Amino acid sequence: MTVTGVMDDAELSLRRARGADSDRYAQYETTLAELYLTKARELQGHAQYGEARALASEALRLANAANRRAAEHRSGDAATSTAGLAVPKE
Amino acid sequence: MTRALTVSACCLLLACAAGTAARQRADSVAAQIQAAREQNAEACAPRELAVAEANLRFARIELDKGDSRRAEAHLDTAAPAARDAAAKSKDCVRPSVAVQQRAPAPVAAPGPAVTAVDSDGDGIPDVDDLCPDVPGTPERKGCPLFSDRDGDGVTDDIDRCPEVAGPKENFGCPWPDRDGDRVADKDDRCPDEPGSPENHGCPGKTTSLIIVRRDRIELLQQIRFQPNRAKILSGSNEMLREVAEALKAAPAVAVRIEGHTDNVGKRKENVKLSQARAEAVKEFLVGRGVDATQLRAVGYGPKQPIASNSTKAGRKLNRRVEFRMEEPKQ
Repeated sequence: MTVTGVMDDAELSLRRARGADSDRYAQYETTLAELYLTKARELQGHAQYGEARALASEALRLANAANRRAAEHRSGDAATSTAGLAVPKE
Repeated sequence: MTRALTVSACCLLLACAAGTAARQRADSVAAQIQAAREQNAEACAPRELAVAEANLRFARIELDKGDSRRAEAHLDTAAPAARDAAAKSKDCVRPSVAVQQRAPAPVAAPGPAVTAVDSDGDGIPDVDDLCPDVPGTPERKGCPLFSDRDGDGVTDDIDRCPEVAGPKENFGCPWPDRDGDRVADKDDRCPDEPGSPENHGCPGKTTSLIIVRRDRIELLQQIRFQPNRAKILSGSNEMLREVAEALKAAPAVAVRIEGHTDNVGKRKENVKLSQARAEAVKEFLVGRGVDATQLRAVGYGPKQPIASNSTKAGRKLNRRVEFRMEEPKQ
């Protein structure tokens, strides 16, 4: 995969993570992924493809992690609220 | 000279000193980040920790490149972020893990089960699927391989004509075919006249030795003569017969038979020889039934070479007879 391909994947994954509310549930991963992606673009602009690719790959990994974490939190919230509804009133 | 060297040496020393200072500063920021991490900053100050870590990494990249100015700029961002992370996480408590008595198994309550959703059913849960609505492969993170709508084996992402099949050599587009004879222009010896594939896209006989073009009759072989003489060798008769047939089929067409030579020998002799050879061709054609008024023989000698006369191959190409269309007869 090319640097641009990795960056596109990372960007897409980051967008999905944001959609899953990762800014709230996985702020560390989301922030890191965003910063890495920005720097990767900058390095690519200076034709430093090796480092750009490494950062973009890292950004992709972090964005996926953010996505997963946010989804887990949301599932947990949903389970809690479902469980809450299921408890019979005394 | 000495002064220039001294200045250069000073600059180098200053640059080295700046790099060393930046590295020391980076180590200091790294220690701060480590301290913040130990205080569980990832939970209590995630943004600050991320900013500090990222900028520290960027600073080290820049230092490796030898750009201490940019490294300093990243450290200027990393240092306060690390301080903030440490400060915010000072009272941060790590979640303690306590083993409690196992709760009784919950009675299954009717309601929606919370499972990993996989909207497109490709076996990759939506949280990991970059294309959650389109089935795809795990190698492409749940996205499909690029489609190929025209089925030409060139995927749509690189196919310049995704709706029309074409070879990959032409980026998935069909080769142009101006005359629509299904012989692509690149293989068509007559790209503006329909013809059969057997005849290389040209009209007429299937095994022709000539191509009739608008401005000339192109010979696929050279007419061969005896050396230094104007006697046509028998190997060229078949081709000249075809020329004769073509001219008889178009009596309104006038043709100039041009004789050419290389530049070896005297110019006058060459002009004379080329004229004689052109006349010999004219005679041959007239003998085959072509109207003599259609033909004009001209000897140009070495005046119009088509290749270099300095090589044997070039000289061979220059010794030739050509047929050029003239203005139609009135």
